[in-house]
Amino acid sequence: MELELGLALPNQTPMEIKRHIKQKREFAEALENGDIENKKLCLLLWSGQPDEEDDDRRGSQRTDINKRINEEEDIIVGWPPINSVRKELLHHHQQYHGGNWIARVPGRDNNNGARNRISLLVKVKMEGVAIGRKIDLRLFNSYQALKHTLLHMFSKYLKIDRNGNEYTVLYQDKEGDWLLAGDVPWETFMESVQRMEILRNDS
Amino acid sequence: MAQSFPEDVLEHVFSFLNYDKDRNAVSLVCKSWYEIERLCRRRIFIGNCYAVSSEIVIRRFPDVRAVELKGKPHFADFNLVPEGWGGYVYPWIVSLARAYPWLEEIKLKRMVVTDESLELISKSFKNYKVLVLLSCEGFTTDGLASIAANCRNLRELDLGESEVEDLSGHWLSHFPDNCTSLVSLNISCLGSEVSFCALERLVARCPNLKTLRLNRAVPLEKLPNLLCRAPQLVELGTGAYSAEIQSDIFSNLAEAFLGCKQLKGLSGFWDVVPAYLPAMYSVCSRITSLNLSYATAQNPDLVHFVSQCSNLQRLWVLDYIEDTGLEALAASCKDLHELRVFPSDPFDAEANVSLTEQGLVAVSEGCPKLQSVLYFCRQMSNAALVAIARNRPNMIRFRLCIIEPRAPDYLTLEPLDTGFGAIVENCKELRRLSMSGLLTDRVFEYIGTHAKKLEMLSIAFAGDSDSGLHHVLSGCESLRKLEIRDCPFGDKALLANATKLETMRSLWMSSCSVSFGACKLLGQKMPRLNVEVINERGLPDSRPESCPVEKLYVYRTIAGPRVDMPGFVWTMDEHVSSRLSRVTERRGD
Repeated sequence: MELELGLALPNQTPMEIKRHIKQKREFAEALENGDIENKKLCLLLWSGQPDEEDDDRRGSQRTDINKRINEEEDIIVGWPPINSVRKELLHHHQQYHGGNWIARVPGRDNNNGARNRISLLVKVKMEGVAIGRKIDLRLFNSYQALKHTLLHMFSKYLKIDRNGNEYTVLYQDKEGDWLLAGDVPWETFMESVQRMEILRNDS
Repeated sequence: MAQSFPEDVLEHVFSFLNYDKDRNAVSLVCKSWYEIERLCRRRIFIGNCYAVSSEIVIRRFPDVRAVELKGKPHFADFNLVPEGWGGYVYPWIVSLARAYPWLEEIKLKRMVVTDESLELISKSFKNYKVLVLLSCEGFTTDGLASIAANCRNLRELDLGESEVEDLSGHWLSHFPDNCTSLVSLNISCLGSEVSFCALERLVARCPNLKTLRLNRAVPLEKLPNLLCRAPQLVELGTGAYSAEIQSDIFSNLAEAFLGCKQLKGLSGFWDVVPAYLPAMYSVCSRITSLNLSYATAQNPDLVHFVSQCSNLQRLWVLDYIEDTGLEALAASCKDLHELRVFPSDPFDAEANVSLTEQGLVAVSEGCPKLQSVLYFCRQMSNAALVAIARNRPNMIRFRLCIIEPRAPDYLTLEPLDTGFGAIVENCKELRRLSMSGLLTDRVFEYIGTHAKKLEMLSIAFAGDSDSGLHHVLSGCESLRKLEIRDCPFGDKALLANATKLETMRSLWMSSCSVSFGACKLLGQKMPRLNVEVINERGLPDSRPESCPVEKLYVYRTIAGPRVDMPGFVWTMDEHVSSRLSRVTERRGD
């Protein structure tokens, strides 16, 4: 089982990091969990920007939205050269439709099968770690696999018990509420998760 | 010879001249032709609102019926021009209202338009007909309500991709019941729902309505109601193209489209549910313009729909079309003139779709009339660019955006100089070029040598030295607009080509290596240029002369320096050095 994990310095752009990952193949320890198939995990570093409440978009001027989009994406201003109408459309879909912006027919289960390659990138912060990470939830289909991978991601920064019993994984839903990951069915979680946080149990 | 024709004969002859270029040429023949022409010019185009003052315009042309104005530089579309930079239309409207009571048309692009301006427009002109606001901002739906309520003979209201503060959808109901003159209505940029009843009644009572572009909030189920009332439509922009899958919705939609025998253009298509695409099959063969760039449909639904449109001339689409879709397009749409492929996931370096340079090569091979391209992709090769150039020497507009800055030829890892060189060498009619990828000074040498008809050039993350900029400024005879970002171009090339700048509309340079000192010198040397420095971080405290400016915008003008600049914009002229030293003195204490 081959995993490409690339870790890089915070001041590299996400694109530079991706190239770094492509160039340098690292073999990580195989994950015991058989649920994870042989997929490429792309981990992006999100440089530690001060925590921003990006839920309240209503009433923002488009330029404010652009600023926030830029800060969240950690990209070069005005690149690629697409206008705000288009940017807002893309960003809106990635945030509020869980990254899958193929229209869901109301009341129907949208099964695009294996052809659905749209990623669902959410930010993950770990208590005690300055640098947040981004993870593509589409690569998982269970909480167990997700939690395992998350702890593995952060184990570079903190000595973490691999069982992860001392940690609680929380997520923020569309309404802005923080909930315990694992309480709702996986599909429901996938439809509403906006971002995640890992807390130590002893704090 | 000129005196032998009475004035009204000449005026009649001149009335057949519609292009500004022709009218300008005519007015240079002799004084009396200048006089006759200026009295009968009815349409004015001002490509840079700061290049001339309204007083000068009105003095020369006393009886104008249509005005077109552009404000911010093009890079404002990508957030490179800070908020508050300028482009305010209100002072223009005040002057126009005073001077031209019979003004019928105002078209604005990238300008700041307030509700006050809109209200003034709605009340000042007796026969007002056309309002087009492209990429404008600063107004709310209240301003639109004034236009709707007061412009009795309104023919065209086009909000383009403007940023409108949407207070409510109620503004549309302000169109009076006796307003039947609408020919074109584009509200696609609006967020909130307009009253559907009001919209339906408006559409029903305007028999000449040819263009209707709805906003996302208009539901698909209601679209047939509008189409049935406007079977004469030539251009339709749908609202959200999604609904529950129900056979009666589908059949209503299909029937409504069947009735639209004049339909040539389609756009809109937010939130596409592919199952509803076949409802439009009856119109596909007549469609010449298709904008699917908001449509999230994927193959095979997407390519199947596009391939039905055998007479397509213009296609805007997301990269969900993929190489396979473009190959199918090349096989079925032989009349294609223009292709724009936008990225569905521009901020990810990894490709989410299988769209590469191959798709563009295929279209360039299969579509003999292809002359206008805008293409976002993640890899490119010199070989592909050379092939495209050889296939399509008739190319007029070529804009390529490789998502990763400075990406080399993915096959050879070399710069893309040769490829773009082939484009400018083979495509002798090329008027507009945007480049990307890894490029050295070499490519600019090719451009300066070959791109003699090039009018607009956009450069980003390219070049090695001033040599590159010098090639362009000294070689491109037809250059009107040059916009540059993040290139190592500095003072030398700029100052060496100062006089060239007076022959152009404008030059934009941001995140380059141009110093304050050079800008000052340029401003002092060239009184007919406005050399504006945009520095959001304020003026530098130490060694200001050699400090690089953040952004530079140079444009020719006969109106003198701007008077409406915000605090972070300075005109570099003979007065600026005293201002600069005053700032540094103040900082010292």
